[in-house]
Amino acid sequence: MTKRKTFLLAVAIPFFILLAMTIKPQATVLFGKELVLETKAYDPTDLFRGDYVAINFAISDVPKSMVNLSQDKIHNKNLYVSLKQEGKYYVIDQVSDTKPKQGVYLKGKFQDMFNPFDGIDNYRVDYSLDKYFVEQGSGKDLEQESIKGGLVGTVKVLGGYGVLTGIERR
Amino acid sequence: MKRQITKGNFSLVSKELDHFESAALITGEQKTGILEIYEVKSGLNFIRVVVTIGAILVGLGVLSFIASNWDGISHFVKLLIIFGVFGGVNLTGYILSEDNPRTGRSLIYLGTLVYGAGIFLIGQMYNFGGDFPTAFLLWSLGVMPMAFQLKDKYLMLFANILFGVYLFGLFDQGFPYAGWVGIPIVYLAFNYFDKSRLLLFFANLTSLSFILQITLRYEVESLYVALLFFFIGLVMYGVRHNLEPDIFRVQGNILFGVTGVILTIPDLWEVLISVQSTRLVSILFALAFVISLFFLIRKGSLISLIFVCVTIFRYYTDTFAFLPKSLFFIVGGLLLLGFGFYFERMMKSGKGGKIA
Repeated sequence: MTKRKTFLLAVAIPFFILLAMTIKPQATVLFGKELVLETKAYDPTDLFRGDYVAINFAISDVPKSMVNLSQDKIHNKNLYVSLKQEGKYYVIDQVSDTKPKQGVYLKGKFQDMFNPFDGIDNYRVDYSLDKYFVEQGSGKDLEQESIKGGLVGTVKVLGGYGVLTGIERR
Repeated sequence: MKRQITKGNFSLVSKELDHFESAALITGEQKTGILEIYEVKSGLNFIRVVVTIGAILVGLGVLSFIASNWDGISHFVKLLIIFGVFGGVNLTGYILSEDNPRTGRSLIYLGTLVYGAGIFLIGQMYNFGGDFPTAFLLWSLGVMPMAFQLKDKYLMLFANILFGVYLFGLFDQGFPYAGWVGIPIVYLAFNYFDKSRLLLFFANLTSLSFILQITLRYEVESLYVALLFFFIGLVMYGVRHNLEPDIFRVQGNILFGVTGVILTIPDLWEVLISVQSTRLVSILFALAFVISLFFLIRKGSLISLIFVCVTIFRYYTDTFAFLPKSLFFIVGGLLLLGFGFYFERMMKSGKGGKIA
């Protein structure tokens, strides 16, 4: 290969990495099913991505009674959480370690976490939906809103993968 | 290949050779012959420094602009701008590489930062959750082809550091499989980039952090982790080889120094021995550690001196019982003073030799 061609390749590789990064989330935004979820939020900063509203979805806490799997199949494992609509919001229906054949579901990483404060034994699930990025300085209003009574988040879901597309007042 | 030395050393060598010539030890021909085997290492080039810092500033500005998440323009337009600027600086950099190689290179450096900004922009656009350590892996992957293409060791260093940040960021987030591929690559790069010592230094750091990640992943007891790294440090320090031994010695010395100080913490030993005797074991370890550090100081290791001081300080702040502490320090200090006096006298009367 000539020097020119290898240079072109060296420019093209990062270019394609960037493009490839957008495929899955963009497809989800375009073709995914829209869900509305209950949240709590506050406002920190990330060094490279800027201010965001940290979001804690109600479906991130799964009661232990809802999971019928042995302990070693849960902690730090990716499981499927099926959701069902109850009124305006989507709530947890059931949890499985295989991909559900139908319905709306999200893939998330389970952590065994006992909360000594409320005494409720839950699993903590990471769906990678815990951040909503906002313009610097504008996260405070949402935070205030959240203290007053929670926010709702809109999530697009495609094949277990979710993209957080918006948050708004309840 | 000519032997590369610094400007200062070259002038020293030539001054000494002048002296040899005037003392009729060598001929003028021999002098020129000797000087010809040397080549003065090119130091930092001022223009290169200026344009590189310029590129870094612009790049940080772009990264910061993305982080500001200014909603005056939409994410999509921002992404187009990133693509445009990335393509533009690389193209300009390529065109300039013939006539203005330094500016050209700095534009390519700028391109790698703009590429990083693109990664974080996408993370922002789709609200990726978590700490997003993958960003640094992708950043590193995107920088590496250009580093190899231009055979630019600074770009490779940047890619290596980004990879290290990725490995560190994975703390508690699953196994860093990329390490199995990444670690060999950073050593291959060292070999490919004319055995740059800088790259070896960081390649070693990256592999150490990979080993640490593996131990964390398998939830190894902290005592065993500390002992493992203590041992690795000793091996890096002690084993003789021809591959840049001073780098391995310095890193090994720091590594076993730090882990050695950590191992003087009594609580760490609880997994191995009964709770009553942890204090005794840790103090025995500390004594053996400090004695071996003194042995190394005698061989000229200044870093060991630092760790002796750290260990002493660690014990000074350890407990609030001042009286036993006072006794311990006074007796220890008197012993050292006595030893020093003894050695000093011995050397005066004996065959000479020197400490350090």
